[in-house]
Amino acid sequence: MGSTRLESSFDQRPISATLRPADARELAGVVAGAFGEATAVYPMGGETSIDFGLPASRPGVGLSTTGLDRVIDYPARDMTITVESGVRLADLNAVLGAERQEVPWDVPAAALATVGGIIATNFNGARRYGCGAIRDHLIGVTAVDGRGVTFHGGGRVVKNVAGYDFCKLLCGSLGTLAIITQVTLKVRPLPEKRGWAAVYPDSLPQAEELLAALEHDPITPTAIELLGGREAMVAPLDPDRPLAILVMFEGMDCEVDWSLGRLREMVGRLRIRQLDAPFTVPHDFHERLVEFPARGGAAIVARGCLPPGQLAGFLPKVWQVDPDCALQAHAGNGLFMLRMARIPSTGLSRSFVAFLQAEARAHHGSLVILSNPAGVEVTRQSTFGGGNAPYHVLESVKRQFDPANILNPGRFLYP
Amino acid sequence: MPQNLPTTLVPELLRIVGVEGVLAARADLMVYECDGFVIEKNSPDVVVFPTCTEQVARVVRCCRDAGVPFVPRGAGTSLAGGCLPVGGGVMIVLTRMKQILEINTRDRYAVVQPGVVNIWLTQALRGTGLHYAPDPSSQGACTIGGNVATNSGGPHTLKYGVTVNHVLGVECVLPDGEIVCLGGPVDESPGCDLVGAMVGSEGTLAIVTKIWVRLTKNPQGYRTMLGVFDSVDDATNAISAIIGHGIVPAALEMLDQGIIVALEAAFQFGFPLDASAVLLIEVDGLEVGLDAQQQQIVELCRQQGAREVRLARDAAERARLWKCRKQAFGAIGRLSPSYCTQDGVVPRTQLPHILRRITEIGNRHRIRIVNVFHAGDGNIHPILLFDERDPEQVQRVLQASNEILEDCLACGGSVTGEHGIGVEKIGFMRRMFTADSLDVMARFRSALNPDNQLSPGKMLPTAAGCGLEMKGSHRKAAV
Ligand SMILES: Cc1cc2nc3c(=O)[nH]c(=O)nc-3n(C[C@H](O)[C@H](O)[C@H](O)COP(=O)(O)OP(=O)(O)OC[C@H]3O[C@@H](n4cnc5c(N)ncnc54)[C@H](O)[C@@H]3O)c2cc1C
Repeated sequence: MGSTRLESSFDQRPISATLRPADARELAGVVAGAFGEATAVYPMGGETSIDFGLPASRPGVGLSTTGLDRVIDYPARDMTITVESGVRLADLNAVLGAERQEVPWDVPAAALATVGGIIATNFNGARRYGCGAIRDHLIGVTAVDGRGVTFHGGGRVVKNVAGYDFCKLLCGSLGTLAIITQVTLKVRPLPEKRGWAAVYPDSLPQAEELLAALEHDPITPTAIELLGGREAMVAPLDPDRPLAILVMFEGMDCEVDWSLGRLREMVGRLRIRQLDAPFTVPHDFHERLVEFPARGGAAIVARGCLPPGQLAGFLPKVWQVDPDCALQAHAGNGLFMLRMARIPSTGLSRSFVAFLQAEARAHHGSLVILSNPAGVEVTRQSTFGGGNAPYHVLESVKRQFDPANILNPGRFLYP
Repeated sequence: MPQNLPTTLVPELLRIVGVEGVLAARADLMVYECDGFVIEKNSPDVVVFPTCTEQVARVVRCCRDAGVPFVPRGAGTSLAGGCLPVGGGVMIVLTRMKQILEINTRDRYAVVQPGVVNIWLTQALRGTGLHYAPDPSSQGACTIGGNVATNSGGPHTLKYGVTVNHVLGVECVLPDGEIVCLGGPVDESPGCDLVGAMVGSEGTLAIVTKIWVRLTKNPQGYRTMLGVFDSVDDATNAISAIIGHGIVPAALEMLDQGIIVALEAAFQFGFPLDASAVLLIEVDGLEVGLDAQQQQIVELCRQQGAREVRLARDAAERARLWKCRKQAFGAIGRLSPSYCTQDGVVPRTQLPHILRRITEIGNRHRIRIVNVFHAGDGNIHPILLFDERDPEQVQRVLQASNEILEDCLACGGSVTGEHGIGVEKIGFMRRMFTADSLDVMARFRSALNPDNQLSPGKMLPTAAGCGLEMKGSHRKAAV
C-alpha cells in the first residue's frame, strides 16, 4: 500500500496544462499522443468531483471534455437521447424538459457536472431507489482507451445484448479505463406530480421499523432518505430532531396523494410522534437535499454502501467516531454520505480504517473517502477501504484498457 | 473413451465429481451436441455435473492443465448456440447446483446457485410480497445462471429492466480455476462495474457459481388488456402512440395472426381468429391510478383503429393470457415441422416499418413468418417456418433472417435484444462494431480469459465472415 502526504489531492495535482479538445476525434488524438510519450492524462468534466480518489502519482496534462457538449440525436418518441459526454446535467435536463422528459439523476452542482463525469464517478442519488441507477439508464457508450483507440459498447436501442457491456464496465471506473466521449441514455417521462413527506423518528430502532415497513408495503416511493445529525437537516427540516426520514413519491396526482395518505397512516400505526412538524415538504427541498454532499466545510466527506437493514445499526458507530457527523442515506438502497466535522482524534487509520471500514466490510459493504482531508496521511486503504473486489482482476482489466497506465495514474487502486 | 482428450483427464474428472457426475459415452453425449440453436452441432468429449463451486474450480483447473477447452451450460435453452462446444472438450453443466441459498426480504435480495430454474425463485417467494422480475418466456426451463450469462429479458422487462438490472453480485470461477466474488448483497462497490460486465458475457469470461439477485415488490394491482387490430400497421402505430405518450406499461407484447391461430388451436382462449394482430398490454402499480392508465391506453388503441380492447376480468383470466403468451413457441409446432426464432431490435418508432419489411422479405423468399414479440422494447421475434429436411428451404430461411437483421441495423437497432450472439450471430459483430471496438472487446476478454480456453469460438469473430452462415456438415434447422 503506497502512501502520500499532501495538502489536497487536486491542488497538488501536477498538471502542466489543460487541453480542451473541440471534439471526440481531437480528444482521441491527444490521448494517442500521450500514449506514445507515456504522458499522464487527467480527464476532467465539470470538475465537481475532481477531488475523488488519491493524489495523482506523476506529472501530466489535464484533458477537459467540456468542449464535447453537443446533443447528437434526440428521438423523443423513442425515449432515448444521444449526447456527448461534456454535456452538463442541467443542460441535458433542460433539453429533455422541453419534451416533458428527464434523466432522474440527483447529482450536486448539476449546472456544472457533466454526463461523462457522473458516469465515471457513478454518483447515484436519492431517486436511484425508484428510478434505477446511472448504469440502468446508460444504453450506449463511446470512449477512448489509454492507447487513444476509440471504441463503443451497446447502441441506441433500449434492449441490446450484442458484445460486452462496456456501458456497465465504465460506470464507476473513475477515468482510469477510458475517457467517455459520447453516451446514449434511456429517458423517462416527467411525472405529473411529485411530493416529499418528512417523518421524525425518535430513535434508530424506530427509524428501522419505518424503513422496513416501507419495504413491505405496496407503496412505491421514488426515494427514501434517512437523515441524521444537525447538518443533514436541510431547510425546512427541524434541525433539533436527531433523525428524519424523507419519502418522495412521483406519479399521477391521485397516486401521490394516495401514497402520502398511506404513509401518514403508517406513521400513526408505528406511533412516531410528529409533534407539530409539517408532514409534507415543499419541493425545492429536493435541491438542497441533493447539494448536501457538495457543501463545503466538512473535514472528511465519505460515501458508503451497506445492506439497507444494516444502516440503523451502523450509525451509532459513526457517531462514536464523530458525534457531530452528518449523514444522508439513500436508505432504500443502503447508500450513504457522511460529512465528518473533524478528523477523528484517534487518527484515520484507527477510527476509520480499522473500525468503520471494517464494520462496513463485515456486512459486505464499503466506505470510501471522497475528499481527502488536508494534512493527513492518505492511503489506498483509507481512501478506497480495501473493498471486496478482487484487486488482481481489476488490475488485469486496467492493463488491457490502459497498458501504459496514463489515465489518472495513481488515483484509484492501481499503482 | 473420448478420442481428443489426454487419457488422464476423465479419471481425474471422475475423482472430482464421481461416476454419477460424468458422461463420456457417445450415446449419452448426443443430447449435448447443441442447445435451442440446432443449425450447428458438435459433441463435447465429456460432460460433467459439478454440485458445488469447489468442484467447478477443480474441474476448470483440470481442463486448464490439460489444455482442453471447456464450456458452461445451464438448461440449454439458448437460441444462439451459446452452449455449442466449439472444438469439443469438456462441458460443465450446472443444473445440479440448484439451491436457493438465501432469501432476505428486508434487504430484498436472494442468493441462488446458477442451476436454479428462473420460475423456482418466484415460486419460492410466494407469500413474501416479492418476486424476481426478469421473466423470459422460457422461465419454466431456463436457469438463472444462463439468464445471467445471456442477460435475459422477458415481457415484463419493459418496465422492470432485464437481468443485469437485477443482479447485485456473482461468485465465479475464472478460467484459471480461481474463485472470486464480484459485488454481493449491496447495491454498489467502489470502482468499475465488473458485475455489470459479467452479465451478458455469454460464458466467455468466467463460470458463474452463485448469484445475488435483487427482488422486486409485487405491484398492488394489474390491468391487463387485449387490443384487437385489423391491420398490423394499426397495431404497431398503437405501440408507438402508447410509448410516445409517456406511458410505461409493465408489458406490451404483440402477436400477429399466424400466432393467434396457432395459440387458439392449442389453448382455445377465445382469440379472434380474423384479427391481423393483437396487443397484450399490462399496466401495474397502485390501484388508485390503474383505471385512468387503462382508460388512456384503450383510448390510444381506439384512435389507432383498434376493433376492440378486451379487459382481463380477473386474476385467473390474466394468468391464462400470460400462459398463452409464454407458451406461444410451443404452439408453433402446429404450424410447421421446423422454425427459427429470430431476435432483433429497432427503435420503437420503427416498428411499423420493420414489420412491413418482414412481410415483404418473407414473401420474396417464400418463407412464412409469424411474429410474437416484446413490442414495447422494440424487440422483434420473427419466427420463420420451414421444413428442415429441405436444404434449399434452410438456405432461404438463413437468407431471409439475414435481411431482417440487416434491416434492424439500418434502422439503428441491434441484431440481438436478448438471445445473444453465441455462434449464430458472430458474423454480424463486424457489422455492429468497428474493428477497434472488437479489438477492445477481445482485450477485455483476455483480461479474464487470456487463453480463450473457456467458451472458445463465441461472441467475438476471429476470421472474416458476415451475417448468418451455415458451417459444418451437420446442418439442421431450429426446432
Ligand atoms: C421457448 C423459448 C423461449 C425463450 N424466451 C426468451 C425470452 O423471453 N427472453 C430471453 O431473454 N430469452 C429467451 N429464450 C432464450 C433462453 O431461454 C435464454 O437465453 C436463457 O437465459 C438461457 O438459459 P439456460 O439455462 O437455458 O442457458 P443455456 O442455454 O444452457 O446457456 C446459455 C449461455 O449461457 C452460458 N452459461 C450457462 N450457464 C452459465 C454459468 N453458470 N456461468 C457462465 N455461463 C453460463 C452458456 O455457455 C451459454 O453461452 C427463450 C428460449 C426458448 C427455447
